[in-house]
Amino acid sequence: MRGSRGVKSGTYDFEANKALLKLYQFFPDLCQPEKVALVLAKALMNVPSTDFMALMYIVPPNLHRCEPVHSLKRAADSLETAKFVDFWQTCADGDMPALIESVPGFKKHMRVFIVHTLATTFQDSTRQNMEQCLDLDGAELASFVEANADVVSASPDGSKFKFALNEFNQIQPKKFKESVEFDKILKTIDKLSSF
Amino acid sequence: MSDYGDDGGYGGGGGGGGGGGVSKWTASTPQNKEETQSLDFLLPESVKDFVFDLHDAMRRAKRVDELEPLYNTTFKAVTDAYFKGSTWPEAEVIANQCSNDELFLCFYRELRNRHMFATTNVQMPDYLRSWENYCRLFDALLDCRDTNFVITEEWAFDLVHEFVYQFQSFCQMKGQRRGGESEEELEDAWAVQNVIGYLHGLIKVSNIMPILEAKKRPAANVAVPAAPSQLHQMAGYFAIVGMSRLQCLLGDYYECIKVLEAIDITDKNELFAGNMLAFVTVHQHAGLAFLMLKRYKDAARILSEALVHVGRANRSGQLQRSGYQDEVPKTADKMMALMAIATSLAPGAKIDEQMQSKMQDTHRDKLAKMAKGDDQAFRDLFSWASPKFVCSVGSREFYEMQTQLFMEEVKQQILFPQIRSYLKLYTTIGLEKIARFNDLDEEQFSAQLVSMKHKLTQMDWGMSGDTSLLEGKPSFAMDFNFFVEDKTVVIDEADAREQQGYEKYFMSQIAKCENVTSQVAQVAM
Repeated sequence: MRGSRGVKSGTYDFEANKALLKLYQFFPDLCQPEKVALVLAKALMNVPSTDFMALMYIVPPNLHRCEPVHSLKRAADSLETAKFVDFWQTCADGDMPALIESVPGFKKHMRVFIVHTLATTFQDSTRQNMEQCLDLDGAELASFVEANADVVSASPDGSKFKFALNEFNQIQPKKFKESVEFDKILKTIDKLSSF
Repeated sequence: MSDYGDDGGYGGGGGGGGGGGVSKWTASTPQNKEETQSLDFLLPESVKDFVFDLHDAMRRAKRVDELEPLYNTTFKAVTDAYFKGSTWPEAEVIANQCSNDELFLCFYRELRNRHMFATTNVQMPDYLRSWENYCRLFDALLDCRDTNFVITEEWAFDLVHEFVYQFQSFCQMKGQRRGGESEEELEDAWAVQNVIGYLHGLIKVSNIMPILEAKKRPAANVAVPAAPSQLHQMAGYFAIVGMSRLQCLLGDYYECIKVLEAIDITDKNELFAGNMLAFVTVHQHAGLAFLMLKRYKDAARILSEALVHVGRANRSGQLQRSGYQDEVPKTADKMMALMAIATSLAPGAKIDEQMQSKMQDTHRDKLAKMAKGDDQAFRDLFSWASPKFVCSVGSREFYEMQTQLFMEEVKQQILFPQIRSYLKLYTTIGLEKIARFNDLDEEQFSAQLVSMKHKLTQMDWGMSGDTSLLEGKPSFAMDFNFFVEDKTVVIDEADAREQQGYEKYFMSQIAKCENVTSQVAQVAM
């Protein structure tokens, strides 16, 4: 029902996770920061839905400044501002690798999101750009591209990539809509003819 | 009269620490039986009559039509005549007028407290006593043993609305206290889980969810459960509105919207739409929740629709008759500010044209600043227009966090207005060139474009009554599309909006012209 592309693994239940965070919000003594981080990581994984954002509003203020929540926030910030190189950098820092390790599929989902997002803006990309944005190279990049053939494909020599055309990265046919109702026109003509 | 004047007096001198207030209160509250009896005789006849009639209409005759004028008109008239600047008599004092009807006295106390909270400087003990009364009242309603009563729509809404308001101001007051002695006592009173629990209980016990569901999708072969009483149904219905507001205040914007799914908020024949304050409450909080969840088109649309409705009610006199003529315009002003933020963030949002020009007149300065990417203008408007968010602990910090998080989102988007205004000038332009115009390198500018695409592709519910508020289709919240093809930015003004604008413009100008000429003709005669 929620979210769209990306996470469809049956193990993600936004409302249940939100309920846990609310429990922590109401009973701060029970709060377990590592659980909060896990829930947030799962929510971040569900981009482009705004789950991460929705949950941050109820995460106790003091946790915002603590690790790994702080790093997750930075990662989300990089993701939102499309600074994908920074995103992968943050993911490799401090407590983040351990956290990501405990969330199966995190990196894969992120890459799928990134490639979809690039495809809404660009028709093509250089190899270097793809490598940096996806934090992949060589055979790994090739197999990722192959797995996402509906969005992206490599040029024969592998130096460029093409994104599949979608409603956002190409010119749309112009739609003209009649927005004036007939009786309004009638009235106007009536008025004009009375001058 | 003067004998219970001291009730209102204790609040006026307050303002110091909570400790002082407590002793002052306990000194003045306990009234022994004899005193109570004598006070009854001192009450003006019209006060006694009012309480008697109210009880009669609510509990004996169970006539909503009789209750309505009493609640809507007489209560205010008697208050103005006898209790301006003071409080209504204690429940024990008027108990004779309702044969000591305990449940009715709970309703009476609620009414009395509400007036007291609105007009006097209430202190912590008042919150605690009020909480006790709510507990007694709601426990009785949830218990369902006594269902001999009716209530008016206004009363049911006011009851729930006040409950949430008192919770909110209790949290704020608690947040301001520094190391009070009676922390243990506070622990339990107005605990957020209990406040949610009561609203949830009212929704559940009233069967309002299945009742509304059956109304939406009538099915012949399914028996519709009934509410235990008319009052339960009303209270349950408005508990939905109250819950939505409460969740918004607690920062759970998802839940704020989800709760409203039970009601078709686009339907002007819905119960809440008949009550002006309920109407603006629903739209204000849903609008804010959409704004916080990055659904700017929905936020702008829902706020605009509501403001059009308020404007209409104002002109027709419905607002003046509603009894909320003070609260509603204030809320409407805040909604207008939220709408200014939403439309600044989503230039593709379509709002009512009259509201658009009204908004431009009201917030001209701020709108211009927001268009230039001045984050302070966003912050100013947001701080002014957002409600006081609260939390069970540390409300002040929590409130600041909500603003902070929203501002972080705004800052991520702060360059968008400028980039948009450049893009609008071209149909195609080299990536490197337009990046330079924006003082960015190619890589930075590309990231901005991608981020803009990502952030402004938002879930769009589109105010269609049939669809869930939480769903919709992803749509682009800009007034044109753009993409990059081989280092060239292509700008696609596919939207028919521009063309539509001309027709509307000419039509309205012709109408204006017609108005002027007919006025001139009248003057000439």
